[in-house]
Amino acid sequence: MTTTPELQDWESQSYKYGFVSEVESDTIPPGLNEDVVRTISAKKGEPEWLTEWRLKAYRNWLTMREPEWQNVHYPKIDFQAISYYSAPKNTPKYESIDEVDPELLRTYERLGIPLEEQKRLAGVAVDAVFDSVSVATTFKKELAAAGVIFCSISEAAREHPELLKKYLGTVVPYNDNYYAALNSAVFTDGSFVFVPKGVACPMELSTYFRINAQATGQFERTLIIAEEKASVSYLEGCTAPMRDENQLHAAVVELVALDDAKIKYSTIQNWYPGDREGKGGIFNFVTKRGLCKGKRSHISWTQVETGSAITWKYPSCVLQGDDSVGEFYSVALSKGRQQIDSGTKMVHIGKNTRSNVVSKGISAQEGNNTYRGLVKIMRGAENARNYTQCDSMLMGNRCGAHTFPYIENANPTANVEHEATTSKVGEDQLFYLQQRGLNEEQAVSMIVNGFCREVFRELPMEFAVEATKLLEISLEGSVG
Amino acid sequence: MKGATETPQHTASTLVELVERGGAAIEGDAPSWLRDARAMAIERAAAIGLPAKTDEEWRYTDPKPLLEGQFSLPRPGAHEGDDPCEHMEIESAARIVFIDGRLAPEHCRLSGLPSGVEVSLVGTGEEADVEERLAPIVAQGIGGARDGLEALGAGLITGGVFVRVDAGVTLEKPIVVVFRAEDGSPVLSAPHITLIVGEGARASVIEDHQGSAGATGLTLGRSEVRVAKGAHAEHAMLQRESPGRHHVSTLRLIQDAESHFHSDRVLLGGAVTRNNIHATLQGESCEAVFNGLYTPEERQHHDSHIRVEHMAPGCNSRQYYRGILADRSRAVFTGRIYVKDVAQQTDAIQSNSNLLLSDAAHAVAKPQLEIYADDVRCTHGATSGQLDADAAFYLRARGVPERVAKLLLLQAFAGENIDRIENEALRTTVHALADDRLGAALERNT
Amino acid sequence: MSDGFVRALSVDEVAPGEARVVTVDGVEIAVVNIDGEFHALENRCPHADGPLGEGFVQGDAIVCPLHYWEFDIRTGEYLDDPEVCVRRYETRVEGSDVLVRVR
Repeated sequence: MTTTPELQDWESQSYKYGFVSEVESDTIPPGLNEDVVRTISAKKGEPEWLTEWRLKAYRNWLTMREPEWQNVHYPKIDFQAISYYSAPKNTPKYESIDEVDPELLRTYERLGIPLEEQKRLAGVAVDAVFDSVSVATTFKKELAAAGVIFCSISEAAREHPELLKKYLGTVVPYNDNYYAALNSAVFTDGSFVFVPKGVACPMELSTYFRINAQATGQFERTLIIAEEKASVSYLEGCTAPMRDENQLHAAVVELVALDDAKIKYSTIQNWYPGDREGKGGIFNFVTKRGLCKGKRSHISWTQVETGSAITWKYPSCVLQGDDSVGEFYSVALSKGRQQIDSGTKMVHIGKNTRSNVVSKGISAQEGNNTYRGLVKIMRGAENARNYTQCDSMLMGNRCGAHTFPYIENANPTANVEHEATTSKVGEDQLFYLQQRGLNEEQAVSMIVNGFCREVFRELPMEFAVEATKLLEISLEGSVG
Repeated sequence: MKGATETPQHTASTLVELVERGGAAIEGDAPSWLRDARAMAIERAAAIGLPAKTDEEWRYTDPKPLLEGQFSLPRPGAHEGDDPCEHMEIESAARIVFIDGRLAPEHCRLSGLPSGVEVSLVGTGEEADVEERLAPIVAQGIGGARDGLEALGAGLITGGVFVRVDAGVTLEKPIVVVFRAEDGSPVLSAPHITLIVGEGARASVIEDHQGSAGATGLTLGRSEVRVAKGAHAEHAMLQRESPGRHHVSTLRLIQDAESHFHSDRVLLGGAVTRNNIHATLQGESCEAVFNGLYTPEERQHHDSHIRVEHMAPGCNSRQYYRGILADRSRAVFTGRIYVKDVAQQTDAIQSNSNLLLSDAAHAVAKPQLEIYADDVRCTHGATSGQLDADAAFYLRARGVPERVAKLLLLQAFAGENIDRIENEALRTTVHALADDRLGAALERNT
Repeated sequence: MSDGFVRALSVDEVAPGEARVVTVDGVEIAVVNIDGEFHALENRCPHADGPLGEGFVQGDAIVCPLHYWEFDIRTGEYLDDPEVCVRRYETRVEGSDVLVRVR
């Protein structure tokens, strides 16, 4: 364990030379205690109130119990065996692209990823010619002109502490759940977006354009604020299969929309699902929540999940402002040994609120897909409207699809409708399409795309195209 | 186990205490197989534990009033005296009456049954011939119980009826069993009904749970239904207990191939009501319909918990439950459809609709699907809302006064499920009861 | 202060319809502003210790962000069961300060 005096020396040095960006040379050995939390905070150069907030979360986490979920099974995580801070991987793994697994490259090809991008993703040293930093700088200028702040959460702690302090933890409190508490204590990366009054963010924001972004953040914390009449669309993830030595990913995303504001958050995730035995896959435990704080505010979550060994996430909306709207569109594919326990929570508090949920689950091979949703209408939620459509598609009889929604209604003027259906990829449907010249793979993907159409329609265009391709590739070999 | 000279059985105690004390707590003139069953039930309850609000299955219904209420067991012997029951106008094949958990032989009618139909009484000490067939079913019920309360309900048996219909026999009219709680002091009764319908046979049972306005205590009931190949069975339960009495009942159904089953459950009374249905469709191509209506008011709590297991291919199941909630009442609906991997060609539909009349009422719906087969059609739907404003306007625009319009719509809403009730006389009775209730509820809730 | 009232925060730190968490005399308090009236509740939901002060104010009620339990701010009663209560503390406004008495 690094001793405190040494740290202090080091800290004072870096203050002397100005802020060192996240490219540090130190890695903290595995283990978690208050010192580790303080170290992380110090390395980030965070203000005292944030260090205290982290400590409060950590102390609370110690008193919490890891949740036991009936429908998801995984080996126990040893929290003391994880290193909670390590230098970002900007050092390339390979000298040339010839060293990369050809199977991986073939996937990138099929997903239409350009060669230079393939190199970056695979960890190959990038030519000086292709400078992602300069691309990002151009975008930053445009954003700055519009008054939009888009930076890493660590930078926000240093450059915009008042904004961060005002909103951090107001949507997902530090003791909301086990993983959120852990994240609050040890988060090291993530995005901060602030869109001021009346501004429509001029472009779709994506994690790709953050300078010094780590390829994968283990404990990411994202906070997006849209002030009155502001709007923004944020994209997270990418279709390329992502590997990471860090098995556990516990992210927290908070969205705040004030009066007449709109936030659209889209995710495509294709985490490494593990080998054939399901070993080594990513555990993706995410708490995502949007607060429709203002009147007529609007938050929509769209996600396409095809990876991870285990996915546990419930993007949610709290509809506090009158006339606010929450939406959730999801396609989740669970294959092989993957297990997904996902869904959404829509909590209606204000008057005339509306929520729309469309969840499409696809299970193949031995995959297990569970939808767990909550629609809660509080007593003051006059005229609340919810429509939920929850559909499952099964391929074969070794997989499982389960729906466990909870509908709690305490207001007589509310209208809640929930529908769920289960279906399979029909042999006769396949036969029909094959008769018309499609091979089995194309036929399956056509049927699946039809099944997912309502969700794909909500994705920003580039994502929609990628998502379709991704699903095709993921379903290869699943039929029969 | 404590000695046989324990406190007399009609002294009040709680279910928690009963389980702690052990099997000897219920003595009296029960035949030995029944004493064994009771001991087994209590032992199993102790082993698996009584339910608590922290259990997922009891998350919205706190079992404390059921477990910690002071109840006394029915006094031994038969009931004598006048008949206080409200009897439906119904033609029945047989009628059995229990008052405060005790058989009222003077008001029963058991003669004139066609051959091939057996109706035997349980818990009266005279069922030596039934024992052999009933004991294994009771043991199965206790062994398969998912919590201690269900175990107790499966085996305590304060009195009951055993019905068996031979293969090929059709029993046209229903067997009606009336359970009335009359006593002002809190009595625990554990009624047990068994219905075994042989291959290709046909029979129906109607349970009528009722009570005087001031009755308290707890009904902990169990109905075991076995439907053999190609047979047709109907089971209806009308719960119109007093608002001060709790009611927990479990219907355990096992169906063989090509059989048909229809359940009607109407919940009107009770303080805390827990209505459990556990159905296993173990043979191919059988059909099961579960129809239910609940209309809680004041501070009543109606919780319906259904689990339908499709264990074989080609079966159809339907769950149609709807509720109208008034005042500060609560309703919970949990409906699980479980489809085993071999149960291809399953066709399962579930629908739950709730109508709230006041903003202090609270409805929870948990429609659940657990599917392991892929060639299936499973849909569930749950809606919660208020009276259709457009329909109300339509009626009022045609000169129908607002109050009447609303009542008509309420009746139509409830009527969809009342009209599904198989037995005509029961349907008429429920229509009349519902109309009165809904009219009064509207008065209070506008 | 000999009468037990301690300064919690200033009046313009909590806008009407908002809640703010402050520590007063070692106790975490949620100060809520309903139309200019200041109320102080313990920042701990009796259900599962949720941070009430980080919740949502809706009229006269505050909703805990953890499991959405609703409490009447003026009486501290849980709206679904008045027997369950969250602790309330006395408040006083002096000049531009909100004072709370926790002991």
